[in-house]
Amino acid sequence: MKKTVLFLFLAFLCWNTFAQVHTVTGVVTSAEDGLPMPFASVVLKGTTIGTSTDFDGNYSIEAADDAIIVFSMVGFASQEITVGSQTAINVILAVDNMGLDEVVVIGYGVQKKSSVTGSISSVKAEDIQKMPIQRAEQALQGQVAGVQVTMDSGQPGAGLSVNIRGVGTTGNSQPLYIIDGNPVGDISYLSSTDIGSMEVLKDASASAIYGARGANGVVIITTKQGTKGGAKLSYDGYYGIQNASRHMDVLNATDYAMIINESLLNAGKDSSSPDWIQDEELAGIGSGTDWQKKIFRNNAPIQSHTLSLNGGNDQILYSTALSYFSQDGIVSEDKSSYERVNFRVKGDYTSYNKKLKVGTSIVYSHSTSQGVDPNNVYNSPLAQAINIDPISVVKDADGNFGRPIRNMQEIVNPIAAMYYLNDEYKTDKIVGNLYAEYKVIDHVKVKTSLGIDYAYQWHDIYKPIYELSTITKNDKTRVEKTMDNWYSTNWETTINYNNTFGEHELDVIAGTTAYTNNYENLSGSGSELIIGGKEYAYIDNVGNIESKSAGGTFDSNSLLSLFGRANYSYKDRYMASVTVRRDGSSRFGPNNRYATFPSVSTGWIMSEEDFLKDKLGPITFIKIRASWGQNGNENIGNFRYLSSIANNHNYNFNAGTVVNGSSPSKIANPDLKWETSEQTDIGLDLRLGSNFYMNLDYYDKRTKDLLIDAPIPGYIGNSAPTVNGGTVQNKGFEALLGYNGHSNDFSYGGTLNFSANKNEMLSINNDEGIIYGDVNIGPSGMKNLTIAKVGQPIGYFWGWETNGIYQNQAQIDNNGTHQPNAAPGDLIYVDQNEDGVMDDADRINLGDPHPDFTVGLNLNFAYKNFDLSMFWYGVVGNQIIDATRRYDLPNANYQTSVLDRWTGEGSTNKTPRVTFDDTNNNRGNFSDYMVEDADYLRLKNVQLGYSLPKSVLNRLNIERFRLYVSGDNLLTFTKYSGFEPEIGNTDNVFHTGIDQGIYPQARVFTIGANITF
Amino acid sequence: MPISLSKIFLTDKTKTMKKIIYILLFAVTFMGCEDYLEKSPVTEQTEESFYRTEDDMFRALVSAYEPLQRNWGESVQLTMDIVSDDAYGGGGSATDGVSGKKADRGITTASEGMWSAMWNDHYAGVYGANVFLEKVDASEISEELKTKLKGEAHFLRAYYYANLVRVFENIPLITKTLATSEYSQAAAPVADVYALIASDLETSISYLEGVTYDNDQKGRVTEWAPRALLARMYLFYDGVYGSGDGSSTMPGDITGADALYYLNEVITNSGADLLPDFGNLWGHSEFTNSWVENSVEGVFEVQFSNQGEGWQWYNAPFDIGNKMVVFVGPRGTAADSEYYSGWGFSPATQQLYDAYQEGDLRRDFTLIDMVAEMGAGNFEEADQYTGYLNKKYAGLKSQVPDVGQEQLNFPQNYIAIRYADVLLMAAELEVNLGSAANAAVHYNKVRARAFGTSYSPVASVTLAQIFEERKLEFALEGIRYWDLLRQGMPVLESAVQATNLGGIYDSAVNSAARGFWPIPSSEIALSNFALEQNVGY
Repeated sequence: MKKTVLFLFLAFLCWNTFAQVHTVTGVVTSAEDGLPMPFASVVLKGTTIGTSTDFDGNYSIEAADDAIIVFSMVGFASQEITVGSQTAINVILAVDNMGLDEVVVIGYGVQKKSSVTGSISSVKAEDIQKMPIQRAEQALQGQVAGVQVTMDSGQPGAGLSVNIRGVGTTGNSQPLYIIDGNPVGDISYLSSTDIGSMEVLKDASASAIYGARGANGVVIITTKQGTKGGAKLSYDGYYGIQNASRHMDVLNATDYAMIINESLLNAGKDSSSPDWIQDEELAGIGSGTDWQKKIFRNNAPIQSHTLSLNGGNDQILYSTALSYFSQDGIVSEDKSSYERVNFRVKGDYTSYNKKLKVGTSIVYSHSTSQGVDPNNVYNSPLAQAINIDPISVVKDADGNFGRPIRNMQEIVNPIAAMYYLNDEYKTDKIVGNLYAEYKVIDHVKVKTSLGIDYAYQWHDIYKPIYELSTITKNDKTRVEKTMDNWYSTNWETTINYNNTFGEHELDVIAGTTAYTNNYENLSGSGSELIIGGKEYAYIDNVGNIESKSAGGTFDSNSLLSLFGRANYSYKDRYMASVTVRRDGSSRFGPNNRYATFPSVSTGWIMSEEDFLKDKLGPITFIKIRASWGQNGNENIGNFRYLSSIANNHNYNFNAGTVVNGSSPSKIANPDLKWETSEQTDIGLDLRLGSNFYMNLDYYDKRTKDLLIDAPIPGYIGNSAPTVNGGTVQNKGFEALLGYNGHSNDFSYGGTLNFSANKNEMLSINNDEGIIYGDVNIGPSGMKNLTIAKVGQPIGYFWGWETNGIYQNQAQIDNNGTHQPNAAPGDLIYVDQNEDGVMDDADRINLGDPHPDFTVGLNLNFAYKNFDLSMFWYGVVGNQIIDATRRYDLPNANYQTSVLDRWTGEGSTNKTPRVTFDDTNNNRGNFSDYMVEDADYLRLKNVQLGYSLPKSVLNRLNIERFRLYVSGDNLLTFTKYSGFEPEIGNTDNVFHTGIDQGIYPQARVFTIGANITF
Repeated sequence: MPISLSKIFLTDKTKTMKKIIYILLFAVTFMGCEDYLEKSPVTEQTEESFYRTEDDMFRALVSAYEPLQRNWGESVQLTMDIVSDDAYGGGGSATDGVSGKKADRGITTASEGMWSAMWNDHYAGVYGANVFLEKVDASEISEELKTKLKGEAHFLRAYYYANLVRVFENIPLITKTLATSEYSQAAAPVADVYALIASDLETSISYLEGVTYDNDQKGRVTEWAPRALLARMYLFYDGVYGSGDGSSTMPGDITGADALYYLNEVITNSGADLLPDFGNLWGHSEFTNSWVENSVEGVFEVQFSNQGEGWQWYNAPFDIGNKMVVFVGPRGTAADSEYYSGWGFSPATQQLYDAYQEGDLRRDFTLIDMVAEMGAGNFEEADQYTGYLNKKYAGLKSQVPDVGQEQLNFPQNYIAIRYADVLLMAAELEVNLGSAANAAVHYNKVRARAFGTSYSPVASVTLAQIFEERKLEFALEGIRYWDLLRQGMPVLESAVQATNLGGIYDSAVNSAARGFWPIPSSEIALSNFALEQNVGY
């Protein structure tokens, strides 16, 4: 490999050619308004020799007779003109709606969009800025075909799960993020206004250059770059208010009492039972406490402000910005919020002889966040609000917090729980890189770049003294502090050769990277503070010296890589690309430390062929693409190949003190190797006329050697080894359709993207063929709600099928022996294998959280100085487990749907009877009774803007002044009964789509401004 | 390689070329940096570096003790009480602790989580012992210490198998750590399991000869524990697979006479004795000040402590507190109650309460007579409320620790083998094989303590009397179910049937299962169906 690169590189050196050179001058103008175009790029094709036009659109360049000059400008179709003997060439550049001549960022370089043979989607800064988004990942939702973005919850600062072309692993399925060439762990530190462009590398050929980390796809983010010309100062900002858009219908006090008493009667109890709700308890309380109303906050503010300065000249480009973002949650008055300040500076220097380029890009951010548990049936405030009885009160007459009237275990007064909650994160993060690029000789550039990603996080917990129930209480003040520190460095060196030989164009890059990530952690805690109160919550203030404890650990992993890529094109219509990457990862044992990931791709622009050109009718551009390649996934945690000694097998003898016992933490597997994802992609890019374009892709992606802890028999006596033991397939179809048009003062356009994906586990190589997701709800009964099994999608819902409600005893008697404790009014379970018992063998696929289709629709209109845009997003074919009710607490409140319960023969065949003594376990067995369809269509954003006309701007000496109003999540169409049909989980694919009282997304109204001076 | 290449290609563009070659060379050298990828855990040892020193080997042995403490809700003790005629399921509501109730009603299934929890926890103990026994010979510790520690490990392995074979009967017999190719295991013949138990216990007896422990270390295995356990296993084997009269030979060549011999050694030589007061065995407030753990009566006690700092629920299996305590305590106790508010599992049957004769001091130390003791309205009625709860193991507020999650952190030991049991086992064997007079001596000793000065000794004793005495003496200690089973299925069935009051107090035996419980269904699949399900499931 190394030898080949060197050889190729040396071989091409000898191919220099020489020709006559003379000066060419001219002026570049815009077809749109006929005005001269400053800063347009004027470059000799196949070289880096070039210049740009001045303020009046003039340029001057030395060119040989056989040279081709390429005139280009972002947003305009570039033109190529052969010089010949001309000394004056004037060019009119037309607006490019298709973006085919745009440049896209690929791994370790850029490429003209029309030459790209892989599957890459781009989102531009203009599109990102249009929406008042909170996190950068949101900019991908519904904008890019084949990328499914799901919010973990609506809590400020919550993560977003990004799956590119389906879930390809049972481990971490999130893509690799590259910011300005630097791999970073997460991108929450970025302000959306920092982003210049986002590129999503979807197929294996595009992401193969990232080898071992590319299997889940790659998102490349380029921060905003300086632009040539005078300094420009801009302000972009918005202010908005947020409100909950949906409430869950739960029983009011009267209905609650009626249902609880009925369920006591059905269990053979009567009004003498302590659980019976007596009439006097209802006296004077009306419909009781509307707990949801109490925990949701009205008009929670959200705001973002960015001040940026951009500018540059031939030598120096610079861009710097200061951003502030804050968001209060719609749940809780002050315990759920996120705030971030970040500062960014980017500079690029080019030497006079154009041989040397040096640059840097640094982002610093400081954020603070605090939050409630966003999706947890035990202790999230939303779960508590919908489970707590409506008879109890927020505060009693004495001003003390009310308690549930009867024992509800962990379900407590959510207002009180939030009042005593003090849980805060403070994060400082610096991501930066420094690079130098040197043109060693013509066509050959060497670049070296050093990047760091440094994050430092405090987690502060303070627990005051409180008692919310007999079990939820704290009788000593307590402080807990954790400090986490991540430090990663990434050093890469590349050598690039780019040349044109007649109609052949070759671009070769080879390089190495060395990446190390270190993690260190320190924690301390103690009880009984000398001075109580959150502001005094420091370890030095701990009064009980013996309660002080400390912990800490260190972890490190590294990656060494060598890679190369050759892009070749002939006559600008036949393209091919070959990529190879070899990675070594410390996460694997010496037996399988290195792996090689190859890919090939090819493309053909048919519309450039003379023999087809006239036969294509309205088709003005057509390109077919095909690619095949392999990527890896090494994101599996450290040291999973070996068995370390776990020291937590503790025992004690008569002294009573803890005696550490040690045992291998798991079974070792020194042969552990990489997950390999192999993907084939076939694509078609098409343009009809000058207004309509589309991209179509079909892919088949198989990830084999999945790294799993596949269950082993319990009699082995220890945890399963991590093995390479499974294959998952994602195949699907993506389409992007776009249209742009304008007539006079009216312009309109839109894109529709559509993705279909089918996920299927092809093999799991343990004897059972199952990987358990380990998702359990409640103290017993509901175990392993989600699993992966051969022939089914990852993380599907595994439970019993029901077939209506037993209407009478005869029906029970005639239906077999599998429900010995059923009574009329109970759910009928289907004994799939007809063996007379209900057990795991009767559990089937009740649905899965992954949509079959996702659709994003963006519409833009502009009339004179007004602009209007709309963004719709929809998903089809996914399900949600409604696990919002504490089934094990017969006193827990119900959704109002329980009013349609079975009350006697023929009353209903849908909702089982209510009973304290749920002998059939209607609400405790996991069955399709709990699964609902979660398809939804949502108007994610609509925005109306007005820009001041040029005449006014000129007078004010302002370049741009736009005001807008915007609304998020204004409409949601879904049959799902819960707060929110969008339930992701960034950390664990097996937790996706399980509603345990999810913190919903807010409906937001904002006003904003974009001003450039 | 790059060097020779550079020699070939270095021509006129030497200067530039040199630069490039340096860069490439640099990159290549860099790739050779194997060290860059060498990482090892800094806060944990690996299998290769561990198992050397005395400390290492002691910790490895402790890891074999640790699963004894895994008595989260699905513990053997609690479950076996619930399925016996001593208790029902109980708990917060009908939907609380459903698995235990289904077992009590004779309708448990093989996919019930409690069976796999019990199975896995016991095999984790077997694994700990196996790892220890495999590694100890190569360690750097003295031969004398090796022998002692091995004696403990052999006992522990036998203890785990004793529970496994009595709960599940048809089980894989794992005596070493398994390679991947050996993961598919069929059930061993029952005789092989008993033979291993016999040989492990006899090895343990000989290896631990004369070993005693400092007060701090009490609770470790002594040479007497394996003797008592061997007799217990003999009696179970003899009852279930033999004639039930001490005439059969347990695999491993253990006869009734051998069992009696071992028991007599304990009686004669161990120094063990009954505590003068039955109440001192349990942490009751009446006796809080004199509550004794690891006493002369405790032949083998599973140790617990409230000094564990674990305070997360998910870490419960590794906490050193007694988790069962909170399960069996009364619910919603009043502020001035001595009882810590527990969860009301395992409510005792009226039959058990009624079985105690007038004057039997044990009744009020065994059962909380809730209304009488706590007063109506000062507690919450749990599901399947009978008015009685397990007083021996109900938690007291006075035991609540300073550290950790208090509900999981009770210090009370589980007395797995009491000297009273040694005496009554010996009495049973004496009736069958030895002297009736000796049997009466042992019996009188146990019974005299229960009735105090009012007791008049008997001259002879029947097996029926001994079994009745066992019921009263060991109620709610996880022993009763197997005592019933070894008397035969009809005895077990009629005893359980007597507590079947219908409605929510429903109790039944799955007769087809012969008193054994289902092999966890996932184990069968994971063994690639080498394991077969027990009859009756």
